[in-house]
Amino acid sequence: MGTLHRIIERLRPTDDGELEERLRREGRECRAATSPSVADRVMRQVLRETPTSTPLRRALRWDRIGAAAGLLLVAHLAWRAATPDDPGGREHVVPDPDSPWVETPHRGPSRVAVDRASAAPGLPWVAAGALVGRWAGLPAEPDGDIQPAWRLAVADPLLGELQRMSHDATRTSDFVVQHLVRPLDQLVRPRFWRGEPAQRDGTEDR
Amino acid sequence: MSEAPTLEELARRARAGSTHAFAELVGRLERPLFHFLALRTGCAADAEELTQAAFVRAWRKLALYDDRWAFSTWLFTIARREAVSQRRANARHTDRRALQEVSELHADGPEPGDAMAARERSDGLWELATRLLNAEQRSALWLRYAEDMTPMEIGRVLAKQPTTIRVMLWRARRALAQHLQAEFDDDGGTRERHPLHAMAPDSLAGES
Repeated sequence: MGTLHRIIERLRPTDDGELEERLRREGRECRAATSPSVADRVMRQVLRETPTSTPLRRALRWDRIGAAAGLLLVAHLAWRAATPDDPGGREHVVPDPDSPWVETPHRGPSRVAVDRASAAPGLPWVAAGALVGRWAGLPAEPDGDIQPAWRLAVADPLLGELQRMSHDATRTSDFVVQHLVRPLDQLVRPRFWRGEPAQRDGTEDR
Repeated sequence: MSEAPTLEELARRARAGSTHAFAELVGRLERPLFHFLALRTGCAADAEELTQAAFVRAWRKLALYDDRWAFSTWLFTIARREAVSQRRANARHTDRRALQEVSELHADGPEPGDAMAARERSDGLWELATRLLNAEQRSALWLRYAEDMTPMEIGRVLAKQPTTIRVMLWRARRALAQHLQAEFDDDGGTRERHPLHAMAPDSLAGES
């Protein structure tokens, strides 16, 4: 067989259609067969590595996290100053009926989280975590939830400490909403919404 | 009802930090990846370990993923590199009973029919490919026919030119065809014409 013929033979389109069809069919059968699931192990490892994994490490703005943590600590100290010896509290914070956290139409993932969390007693720390997490540059989940790693690393300890100090989850929730989440939102709002559509739902931002 | 997000869309979300999106990617791709690695390494246990390692590495390297390319291509590339690294690291002898082991695993399924199908598969073309072809040829063949990748995509996974992939595929098919032809000839032609006889023409049999 000549060289040219061999080259043509190698480069010509396959005519072994029957073999190819059988490879496809048996390949599909094999591919569809059950296999050991590694998903749980993979995700456990992924979540374990999340605080230091590359995407999140890049996403996190540690300067902002530091600032957010500072604000939380100031709130913590303010709380302690406000309720030194009186578990019943001298000035129970009454939720503002005009609070934007519940009534303002949603404008973004973190706002969704804030609204939802504010409507659920005892969960404003989630809102605070979402807000500072977003402020720190941490992407939110589509449903507005924040990353577990962020929550575990920063928000939970600080805000959990607030709740432990108060012995009153409802009161702490009110306090956090009024004195932490709301001021924080006002502080970060310009950055928070930068680059986002101004009237996502047809409502002017406040 | 909205359509399920594509792999690339999920990858973009995961790259932005969504572990939910990455979990869905793992759920969709763990099976294809496992079977690819089982065929390549020849060992189900190694394949399972490599599947996990490939996903974890993909998570760590997500920032490098270029979404102009199919996510599956990128993931299979990582998996192949993991397999190469592991092979270099432990220089483990390839277990030729790869698909048999995988088939036994399949046979643990609830349906008796599945077990029978698995046994049939172990006598099938892919088992033959495991015995006759090297890891690169098996990988190319699998990506082409089980994963429907183009030669260009396979080339990216295996770090070879598309032309090289076409030649590799052709040689792999020829090896399978020659083996089937030899089996037919050994039977003295007493059986009916081998169903794949037609794809092993003399011109291919004489190619060296």
